[in-house]
Amino acid sequence: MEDKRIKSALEIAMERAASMPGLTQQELAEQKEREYQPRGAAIARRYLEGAFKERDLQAELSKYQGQEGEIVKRAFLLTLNQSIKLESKTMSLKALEGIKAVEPTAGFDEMKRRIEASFDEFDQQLGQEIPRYEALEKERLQKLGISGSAVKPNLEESQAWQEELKRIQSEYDSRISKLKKNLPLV
Amino acid sequence: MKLLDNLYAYVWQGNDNNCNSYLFASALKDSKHLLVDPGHVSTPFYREPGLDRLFQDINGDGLNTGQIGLVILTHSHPDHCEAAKVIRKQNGALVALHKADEPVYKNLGGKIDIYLQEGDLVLGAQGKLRLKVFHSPGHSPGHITIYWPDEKVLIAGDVIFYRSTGRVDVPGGSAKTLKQSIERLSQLDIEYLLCGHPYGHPGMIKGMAAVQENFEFIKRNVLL
Repeated sequence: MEDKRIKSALEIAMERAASMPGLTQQELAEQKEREYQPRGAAIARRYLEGAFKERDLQAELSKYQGQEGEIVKRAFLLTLNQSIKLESKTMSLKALEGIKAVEPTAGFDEMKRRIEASFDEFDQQLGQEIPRYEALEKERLQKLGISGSAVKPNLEESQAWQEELKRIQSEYDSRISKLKKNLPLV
Repeated sequence: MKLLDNLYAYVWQGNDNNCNSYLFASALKDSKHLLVDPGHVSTPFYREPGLDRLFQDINGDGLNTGQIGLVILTHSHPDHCEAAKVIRKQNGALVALHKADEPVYKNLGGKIDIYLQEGDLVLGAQGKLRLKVFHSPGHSPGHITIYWPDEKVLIAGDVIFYRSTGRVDVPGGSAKTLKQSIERLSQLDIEYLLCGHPYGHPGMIKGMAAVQENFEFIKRNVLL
């Protein structure tokens, strides 16, 4: 007698899956990247938030070995590299310490010193320019008949200062971006 | 209402809460006016037209509201500062506030051109109007009061009212610092105490004896 049993959905799916071609090497590699990159990025973010000390980073990263370990480490270094930004000096310096703890390449200290120097020069330039622009704004206010020791202009609302600030930021952003390219990414 | 030579007082007459406003006519260059605390654009509960009424009253005194060139805010509560955004936009008027009240004002969408700190405020082409700014926290962290020594006028905002004081049960409020602010202001020679609200009284106390009596009443009965 003919077997009239109906195939279950699972059986049909398994048959179809068996007849499908396997993933290529490239697809397998991409799948791994997708799986392990977020883990490396998460370790970097948690480090920046203070969850790990520099001395804990190697141990944290060494939980992943082989190809997976490389992906995790690369994502970790990339996230720290991207965290080095003009607008956040403290976080940038911490990111540099994190990179050094994991990948202390030759010449790293010199690059770190130059990045730190750029942050310091940026602060110094702001320190020089802010009083100059405040004085200009005070002059402008005086022409409107507003002066005295109680008056402190808000440079956030000064178009001239905002344009100058943008120019200075752009100069230092570009300098720091160039320096960052010399930091280890793997 | 003209109070002194170039000082005008606009006591809030509505039913809802709004502040008293004060205007120094032609205080700046090009005869531009200084307005202290423009109040609400419209009041929160009954939707009374705060700014329209204020402008009507100012125009009624023969002054041009388009000539308001500077708005000083004693503090950043909406019943004092809301209309400043509109006047800044309409007139290109500058807005001045103490830095410690900036976060609240920014949350309300306001922009500040001048931070006012404790010190001298000299207005007019030849510095003809000389005012003193006092940092008087307690009702808010960046509350300021404005003193005009020549005429012994104190614009007190919400530090002190007739027989009462500003609230301290608001964010950034502090009974201890309000008490210190009031103690300090009570040392000034004040002929006109111009309060920020007409609570149970127009909010303008005239005469040195009446002002001192009000300070004493508050020290005895409110600042315990």
